Amino acid sequence: MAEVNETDQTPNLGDSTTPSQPKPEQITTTNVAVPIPDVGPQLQVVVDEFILKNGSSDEEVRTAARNDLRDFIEREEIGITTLLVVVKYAHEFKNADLLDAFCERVADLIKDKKVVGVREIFGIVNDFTPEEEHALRDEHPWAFED
Amino acid sequence: MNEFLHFLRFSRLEYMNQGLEMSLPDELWRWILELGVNTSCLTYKDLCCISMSCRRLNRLSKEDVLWSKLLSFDFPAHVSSSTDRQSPKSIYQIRFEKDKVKKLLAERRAVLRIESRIHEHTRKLHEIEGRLVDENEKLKAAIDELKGLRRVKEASTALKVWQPEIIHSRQKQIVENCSVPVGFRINALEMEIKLCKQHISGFLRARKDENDRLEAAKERLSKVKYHPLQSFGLDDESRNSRKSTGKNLKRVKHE
Repeated sequence: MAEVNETDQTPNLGDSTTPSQPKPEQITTTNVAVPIPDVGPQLQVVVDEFILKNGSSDEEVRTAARNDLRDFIEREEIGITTLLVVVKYAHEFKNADLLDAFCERVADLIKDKKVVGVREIFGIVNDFTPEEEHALRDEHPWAFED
Repeated sequence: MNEFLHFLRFSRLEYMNQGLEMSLPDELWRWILELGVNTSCLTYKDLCCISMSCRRLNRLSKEDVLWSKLLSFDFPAHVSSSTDRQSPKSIYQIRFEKDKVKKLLAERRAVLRIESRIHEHTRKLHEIEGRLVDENEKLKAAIDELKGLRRVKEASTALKVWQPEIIHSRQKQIVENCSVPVGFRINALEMEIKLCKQHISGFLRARKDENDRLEAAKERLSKVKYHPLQSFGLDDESRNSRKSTGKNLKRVKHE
């Protein structure tokens, strides 16, 4: 199998106009690689497709790719565990758009939740003492008065 | 013993779905929170809830970057001086509470204004009702009088023809009892009746109009008094509908 060339990999953070960006016809599957262990093959396929399309020079293709990925994540209700796995790998492979798509989903899951709800999503352990919790609640009533 | 359990718990992170937040480094949490704020996905409320979930997220959700951004979104008029020694989060809270008071006072003023209009409309309606009653009475009186006069007229016409004596004398009585010039008075009454009816229909229109205005004012009042959840500017329902219809409404950072 051909080696994966680092410079031909997915675009760096925020840098989508580098001259070294491969032309669409040059992108082959060997250049596109964010292999993510522990996620299902379906998601891997979708991610790979996203990366491929996101490298296009056509704005519409890129936007469509982002929307498709977003819709897929939402439709399939990708679990938090998987979301975090992809986030970490996207971060490691410096794929800003992939990272953003999944981070947005995580933020979406957190949004409009109460404290208990937030904890439930991640299985967060409450490490506050009762006094600290009380103090926190006293600190924030302004945010919850309806 | 606790530490051991702690270790166990974190070594079975994904299997147990516990403490997943620990699998992300601070840097990534910051990214998620910043992205959330920048896209208007996360609000001050969300950040406050997050800050109460555990110590680590408390620290991460307090960061100035996040609250400065929220300030610039929600209270753009705020001019931050370089001598601001308070954290952006505190500044946000202060602005938020001031804004709330302002809104409350404005609302109270609006309510009072509308209530006085309602009072006015009600008073006018009452007045119109009174006039309607009067005019209806006038109308009735005129109609009754007209009926009577018409009988007189019939009687005087009938007298010109032969009638049995009983009827003849009764009719004579009717005619003699009438002291007004019949023809003249009938014309006057017919005109008065016409006028009354016109007035009445005018009052009915006015009453409807005034009533419409009253209802409109009541509607306005109920709208002003109704608050769905008092988050900044928007209520949760409208934010949820924004989510499903308005991906384009999100402020996406790098588009």
